[in-house]
Amino acid sequence: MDWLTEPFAYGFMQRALGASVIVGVVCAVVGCYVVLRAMAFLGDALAHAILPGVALAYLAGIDLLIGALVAAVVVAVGVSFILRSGAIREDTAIGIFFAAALALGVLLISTVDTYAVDLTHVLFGNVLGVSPSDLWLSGGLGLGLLLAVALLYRQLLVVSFDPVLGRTLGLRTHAIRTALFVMTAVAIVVSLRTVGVALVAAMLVTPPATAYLLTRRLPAMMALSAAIGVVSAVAGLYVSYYLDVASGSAVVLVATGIFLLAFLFAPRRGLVLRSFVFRRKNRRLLTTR
Amino acid sequence: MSDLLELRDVTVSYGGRVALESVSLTVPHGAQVAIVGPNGAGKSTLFKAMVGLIPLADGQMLIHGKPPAEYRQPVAYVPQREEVDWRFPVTVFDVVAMGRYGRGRWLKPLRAEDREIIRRSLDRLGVSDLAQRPIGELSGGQQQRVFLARALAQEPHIILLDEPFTGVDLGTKEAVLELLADLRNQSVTVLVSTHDLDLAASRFDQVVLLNRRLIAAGSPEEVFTQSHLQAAFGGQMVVVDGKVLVVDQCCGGHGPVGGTDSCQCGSCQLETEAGESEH
Amino acid sequence: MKLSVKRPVRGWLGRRAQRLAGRGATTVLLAVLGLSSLLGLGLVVTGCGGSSGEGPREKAGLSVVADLSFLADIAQNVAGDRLKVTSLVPEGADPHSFQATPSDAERLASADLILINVAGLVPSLDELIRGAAKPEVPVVEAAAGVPGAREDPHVWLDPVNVLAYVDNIVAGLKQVDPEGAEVFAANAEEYKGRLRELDAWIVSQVETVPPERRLLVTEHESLGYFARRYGFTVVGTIFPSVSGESAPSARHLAELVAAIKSSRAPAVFVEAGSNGELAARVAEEAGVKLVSGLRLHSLDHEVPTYLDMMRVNAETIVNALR
Repeated sequence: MDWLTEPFAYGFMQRALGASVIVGVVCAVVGCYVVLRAMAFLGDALAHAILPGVALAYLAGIDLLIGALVAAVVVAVGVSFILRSGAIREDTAIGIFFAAALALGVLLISTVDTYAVDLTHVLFGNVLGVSPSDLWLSGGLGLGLLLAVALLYRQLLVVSFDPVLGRTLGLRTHAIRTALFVMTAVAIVVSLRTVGVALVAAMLVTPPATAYLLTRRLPAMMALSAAIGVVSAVAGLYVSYYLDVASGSAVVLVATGIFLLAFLFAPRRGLVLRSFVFRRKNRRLLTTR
Repeated sequence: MSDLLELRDVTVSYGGRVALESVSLTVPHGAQVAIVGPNGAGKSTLFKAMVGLIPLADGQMLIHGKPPAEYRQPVAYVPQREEVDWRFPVTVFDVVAMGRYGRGRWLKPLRAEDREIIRRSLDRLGVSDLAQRPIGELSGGQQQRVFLARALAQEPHIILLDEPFTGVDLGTKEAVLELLADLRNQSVTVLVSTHDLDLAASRFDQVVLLNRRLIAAGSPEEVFTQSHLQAAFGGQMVVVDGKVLVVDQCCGGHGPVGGTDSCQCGSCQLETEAGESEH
Repeated sequence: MKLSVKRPVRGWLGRRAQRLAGRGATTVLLAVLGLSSLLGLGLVVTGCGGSSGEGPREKAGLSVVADLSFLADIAQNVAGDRLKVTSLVPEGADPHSFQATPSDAERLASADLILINVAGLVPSLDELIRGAAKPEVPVVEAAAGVPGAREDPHVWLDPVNVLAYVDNIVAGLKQVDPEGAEVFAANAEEYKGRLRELDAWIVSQVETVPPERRLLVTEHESLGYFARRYGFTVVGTIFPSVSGESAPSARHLAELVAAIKSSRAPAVFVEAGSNGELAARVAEEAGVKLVSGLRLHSLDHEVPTYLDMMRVNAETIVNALR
C-alpha cells in the first residue's frame, strides 16, 4: 500500500492535506448558506474586495491580513445593510460592493509611487505552501466558525428560510444575517490566505451544490457537503501528486467531477434518471392505448 | 374572563401613508372574529402590526391588559402567501418545529413534549403523512396547511389568519373551517381576515369592518347594515331586490395596496334584512 | 437513496445520529464518521512512517534550488561540478503566473540550500518556499547588501551588482558544503572575471549610441540599475508601479507621451512575451517605434545563460537607439 502513503511522506503534503481538509470542511458548511442564499460568487468577490484593506494596511505598515479581514467585514456588513431595504437582491448587493471595493483598492494603490508589491496576490496562499502557523490559524478559526454555526443553527435556519417568522419570534433578523455574512467573510479571507482563490471559491459552492442534489434536510446537506469537501481534498491531492499537476486545481476538478456525477445520477433530481423515468412513463401510456 | 385583546387608538403607517387610523377594539377570550373590508383597508397591516412586523405609529395593544412583550410569542401569524425560500432543504416536520422555537428555546433540543405538540398540530391539519417531505414538494394548499400547523404549534394566545380562504383548494378550505371549529372548542382566540362576507356572516360570532378606520365591530347583524357597508365599500356596493351585492374590485381598479397581494375577483352576496335599505 | 422508506437503525450511535438529523442523513453522518476515522488512521500511519521532510525521491548529494532561472545559472557557475542548482520557476516561465506542482514543492522540501534574488520580489514564491522547505534550511538572499534592493528589486540587470550576488552565493554554498570552499572561490573569481568582461563590453556598445539618444521607456520600472550603470535616462514607464493591479491613469499616459516627444526618446521597449498593447498605443501616439525582446525575469532556450541574457538586452537596446 505504498502508493497510499508515499505522497504524504513530505511535511508540505501533510500540511496541504490538513489545510485543504480544514478549508474543505469549513467552506463546505458555511457554503451551504452561500449556495442557498444565491451568493455563489461571494468567494471570488471578496478575494478582490479585500484590496483596499490590504492597500491601507500596506500604507500604514500593519499586517496585511488584518487589513484584509477589516475590509472583508466592512463589505459583509455593508451588503447586509443594503439588503435591509428589500429592494436589492443578494447577488446584486455583492456585485456593487465588490466593484466599488476593487476600484477603491486600485485607486489607493495608484497613489503609491514607488515599487509596490503585488498587493492582491500577496494574500493568496498556495495549498503547497502552507506553513505550520497557517495551519494552526485556519484550524483554530475553522473550529470557532463551526461552533458558531452550531450554536446559531436554529436562528440561521429561521432567518434564511422564513425571515418573517423570525421577526415574529423575536429574532433580530438583520443582526443575525449580518453575523452570517461576517462569519462567511472571515472564513473566506483566512482560507484565501491558506490555500488561494481558486480553491476557496470552489469549495464554497461545489460541495454544497452537490449535497443539495442528494439530501432533503439542511443538517444532512451540511454533513454531506463537508464529506465531499474532504473526499475532494484527499483525492485531489493524490491525483496532483501522481500526475504532477497543480494541487489546488486538482482538488477543485475532483469536486466538480463529483458534482457532475450527482447532477446526472442523483436518485430523484438527477438528469439521467429523470429522463429515463419520463421516457418509461410515456412508453407505458402509449402501449396501453 | 377579561378581554383577551384590546387595541386602543392604534395608528399604523405603511409605505408612507397612514394605513390604519385610530382603531380601537376589544376581543374577548376565545372569540372568533372575522376582519373584513375592501382591498387596501388595512386588514393585513393590522395583523402585521399586531405581530410586531410593523411598528405602531400611535396607540397601544394589550393582551390580558399587558403589552405583548411580556409574553412569549403570544400571537401567531399566518400570512396569505408565505415569502419563504421554497427550495430550502427543510421537511414539513422541520417547518412546524420552528413554531416551537422562540425566546430561550434556540439552543436546547426538542423535548418529547415539543414533539408531541408538533405531531398533534400536523394531525389536526391532516398533514401527518407528509411530515418527512421537503416543503417545496407540496401543493399550495398543503403548504398552507403546514404553516397553519406551525401557528398551532406555537401554542399562542391569539392566531391571526390572513385570507386563509382565498385562492386555496376546497380541501384546504375545509381543513381551515374544521380547524376553526376545533379552536372554538378549545377557546383559542382567532382573528381571520377574509373577502368572503357570506362566510363572515355565517361562521363568525364577531365581525370587524375596516376601511382604514374602524367602521363597525360587533355581531354580523350589527355590522352588516347597509350604511356600514356603504361606508366601507362605497361604490362597490349595489342593492338588488333587497339583497346587497358587494363586488370586490380589487382586480379591476387599484392594484394591491399596502403590501397585500390578496386579490380575489368575484362577487359576494349578502342578505340584509329586507326593508333596511336607507336608499 | 430511498429516503421515504423508514428503515430502523440499529445501535446506539446510529440512533443518536438519526435523532439528530433524520432518516436519510444517518447514512451520511455515519459515512462522514467513517471517512474521518479512515483519514485519521491514514495520517497516523504516514506520521509514523515518514519524518517531516525526508521523502522517497531524495537524491544522493546536496541540492540547491534558486527561485528564478537566471539566478540558478549564476549559482551553477559558482557551484561548478560539486553541486547541482535547479530553478524553481522553469526557463521561459513568468514568475508571477507560475503554478507550483507537488514535484516543485518536493524539490524545495528536499533542498539543502535555497537561493532567492530579493525577498518580496514574487510574494507567492516566498510563500511557497516558506511553507514547503524545511525550516532549518538556509535561505540566502543573493541581493543582500546591494543598496536600494527593497525599493527596486531588479538588481540583477546591472552586471556589477551580480558581483555581490556571487559573493553571497559563495557564502551560502560554503554553509552547506564547507569542503568545497576553495572550488567555489575559484569558480567565483572566474565568473566575476566574465562579469567584468560583460560590463566592459556593454560600456563599449553603449558608446556607439549618441548621448542624447540614451533614453529608455519601458513598461515597468525595471531598468533603473541598468540605466544608472550605463548612463541612460529612464524617461518614464507605462505602469507607474510594478503592482499587478495598478493601471496607469489617463493623465499619466498623456504625460508619458509628452515626455517621450520632448525628450526625443527613439523607442519604447517591452519584454519578450509581453502583451504590450498599452505600450504599442503609447509608441504610436508618440510617433516612436516599439521594440520587443527584452529579457528581464527569466532565461529561455534562446538565452540560456545570464550572460547571454544581458548581452541580448544590451544589443536590443543599443541597436534600437543607435
